[in-house]
Amino acid sequence: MFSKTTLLLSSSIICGCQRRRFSLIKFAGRYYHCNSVSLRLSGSQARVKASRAHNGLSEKYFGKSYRAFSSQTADTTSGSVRPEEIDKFEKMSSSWWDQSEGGQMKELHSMNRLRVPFIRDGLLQKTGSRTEVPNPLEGLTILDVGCGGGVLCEPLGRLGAKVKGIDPGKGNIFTATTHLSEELRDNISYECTSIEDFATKYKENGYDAVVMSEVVEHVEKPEDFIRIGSSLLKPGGSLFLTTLNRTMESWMGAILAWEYLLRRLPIGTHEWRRFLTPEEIARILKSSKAYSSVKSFLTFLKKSYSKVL
Amino acid sequence: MSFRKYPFLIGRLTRNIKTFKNGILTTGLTPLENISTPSVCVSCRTLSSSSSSSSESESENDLSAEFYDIVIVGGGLVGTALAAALGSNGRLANKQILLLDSAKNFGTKPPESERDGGDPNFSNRVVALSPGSKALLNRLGVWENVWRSQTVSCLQVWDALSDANITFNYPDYTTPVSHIVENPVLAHAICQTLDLVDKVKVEFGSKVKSCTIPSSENPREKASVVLENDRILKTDLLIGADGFNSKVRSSISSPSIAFNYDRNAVVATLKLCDTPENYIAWQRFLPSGGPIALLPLAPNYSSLVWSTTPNHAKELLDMEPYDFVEAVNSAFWKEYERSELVKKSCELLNALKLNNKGPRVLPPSIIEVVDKSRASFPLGFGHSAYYASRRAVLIGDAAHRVHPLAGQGLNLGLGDIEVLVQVLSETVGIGGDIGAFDTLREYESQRQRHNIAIQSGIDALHRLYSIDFPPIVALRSIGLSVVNSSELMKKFFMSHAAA
Repeated sequence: MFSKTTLLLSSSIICGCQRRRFSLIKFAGRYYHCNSVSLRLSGSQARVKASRAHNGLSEKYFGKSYRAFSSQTADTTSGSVRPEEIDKFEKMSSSWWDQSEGGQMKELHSMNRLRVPFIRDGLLQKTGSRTEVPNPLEGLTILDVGCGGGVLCEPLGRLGAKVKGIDPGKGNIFTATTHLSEELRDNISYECTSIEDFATKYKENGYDAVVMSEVVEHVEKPEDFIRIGSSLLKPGGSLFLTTLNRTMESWMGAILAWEYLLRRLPIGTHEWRRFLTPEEIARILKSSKAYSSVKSFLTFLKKSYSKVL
Repeated sequence: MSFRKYPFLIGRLTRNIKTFKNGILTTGLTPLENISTPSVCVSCRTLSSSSSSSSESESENDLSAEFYDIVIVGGGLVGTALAAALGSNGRLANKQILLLDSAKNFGTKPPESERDGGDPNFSNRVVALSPGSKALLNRLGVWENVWRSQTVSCLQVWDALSDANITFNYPDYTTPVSHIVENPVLAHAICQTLDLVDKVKVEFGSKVKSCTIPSSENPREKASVVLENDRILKTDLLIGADGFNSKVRSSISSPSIAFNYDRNAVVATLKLCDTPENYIAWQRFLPSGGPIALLPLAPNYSSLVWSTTPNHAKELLDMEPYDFVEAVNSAFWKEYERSELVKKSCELLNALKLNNKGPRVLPPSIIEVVDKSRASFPLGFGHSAYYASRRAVLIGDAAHRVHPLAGQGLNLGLGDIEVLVQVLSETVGIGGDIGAFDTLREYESQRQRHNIAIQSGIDALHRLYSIDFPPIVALRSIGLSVVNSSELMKKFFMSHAAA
């Protein structure tokens, strides 16, 4: 689905028309968005603040439809995982690396062209390292929440980061582990667990980055999910989040066209009402007051594509 | 040219739109169309990856096999330049690169500058480098090692069967149109640069017996190369720079078009009469044969490339030097008999002042052929429908071979290098697998878009000028004159040839 936006962008690049390009970038933003935040406070403080702010938040900002599936307290055992979502992806688990024409995951792979630079540049901006080296992310630790078949873990591992991929689906983790090649074994490890279970067991200092890519639209309680995810960060760590926007465009593109008309994904892969808008996510993130900056997709796209041009 | 005649010509371009295929070619496809197409794959070769199957088989055997991240087969001009380009790229700094060549010490011996008599010792094999190619070599640090080259700032082409002619030059006459460099000089310059890149391991004298590419996209499966001495090499990315009889190309089983033009190129080094400022390249299209070209090498020296029938080529090689010089001079100066129609059309063009661009400069006359400089080689066309496959990619003549009439052969190869290095560097930048089919397909579609246009253009020119049927001659003369009189069209052609 995302490659569609990238392709819209590239077609506008071919046109070379400034105004049209801008409107297409805006359109892409209405379709899809990424957010990255960096944490100012320490992980534990953020955890407290986030959970405190959280309860009032969902009612205040998200309105009825949203409250319908957000619960009052963070339940660490049952957690944010939705069993039917796990089933959905377990059925597709063998096709994570199918990049052939018409493969279900082809678009997910092509999204790496944008989300890997998004994460890479976001992290390098803080460390001040150069990108013109083979392993720019060397020495950084990344947690990929909802890693699926490891489509995003592998490139991040190749860039030198130590990546931990967690996913509640057994089949997904099996696919990810078998796909891992020898040279990446040192950098990447997978674990079949939910984020709540992982967070309770996790005793170390925290990650430099937590990545939630294409996953918040599949969880039961996004607020808890994001909050727990951010509690696993080091002080000053970054959270990277990419997801579909909840707009008319995303309904027409991701659901009507992609699932019903083109049948590229099984019907029901995405539920439109579970999509989050950038504002909603920004509110979840900002509400904890733990975050120093929220960078949105539009600024990122404009920056990266002005480089291309 | 009809696509029926060249069924594979737009191989991968059509692969993307298999749904619309079956004889109908949809052109101008944008990537957007690919995505929104319901995929009914009529794949001509199966590339579906099965992530779970056959993962163990490959990784277990050959644990002893040597592994390199990148193996380049073929150490010609393109292969060595690619090795230098890959080796000097910052993002590829941790990649182990191996360059294999069957020759012994190619280009490592500096060419002698003078032969015994005191005359400069020119090689009879030269290449014409476009400004784009020169810029690439400059960036690689190769150009500073090119110790002898000649700048061409004007290219004069004319038709032996009519008055039509065309001149390519920039208005100021100083911006170079192309650079003529002898092959050994360029090879030596590249090797000098390559010596400074320590990460590239060069193995001369190793013949490749066979290459195999993995059967699926599984990252654990590598491409392998078996050498004549049964050594096995494993690699993430196998690059075929092994010329038009490429072994790598046969390993990716790419359909290809290859034919001989039934023409040989006769090359020689010629001494000119009183030409101290030698900066014009001359080319005349002769009836029944092909173009004869005079490429400046140095003051008073030029290199000859004469495309002609194999029999005539043999005659030219066997001639006495004096007769050979006569034959070349007459090829440039001889007036051929013209038909009425062509005469009429030339008169028409003159009347329209289309053919009247000031006084024409005349080609220099040749006084001597340098001893033992004559040679001949066959000319052919080659095109590989695929440039890329899983963990394998083709560059240079392995992917495309052209008639030398436009001097584009090496330029296309150097263009391949530029794009391939850029694609690989971007892939490493986003943590991608350098041998993944998707990565390499990016290179393929970028290059085929450019190369096929140039290749078919050159082929069409060759065919157009092989005809001496008067109406066609008249038409092509009109066409050439129109192009010559239109600065805009000339700019278009020059910018394409300069890339």
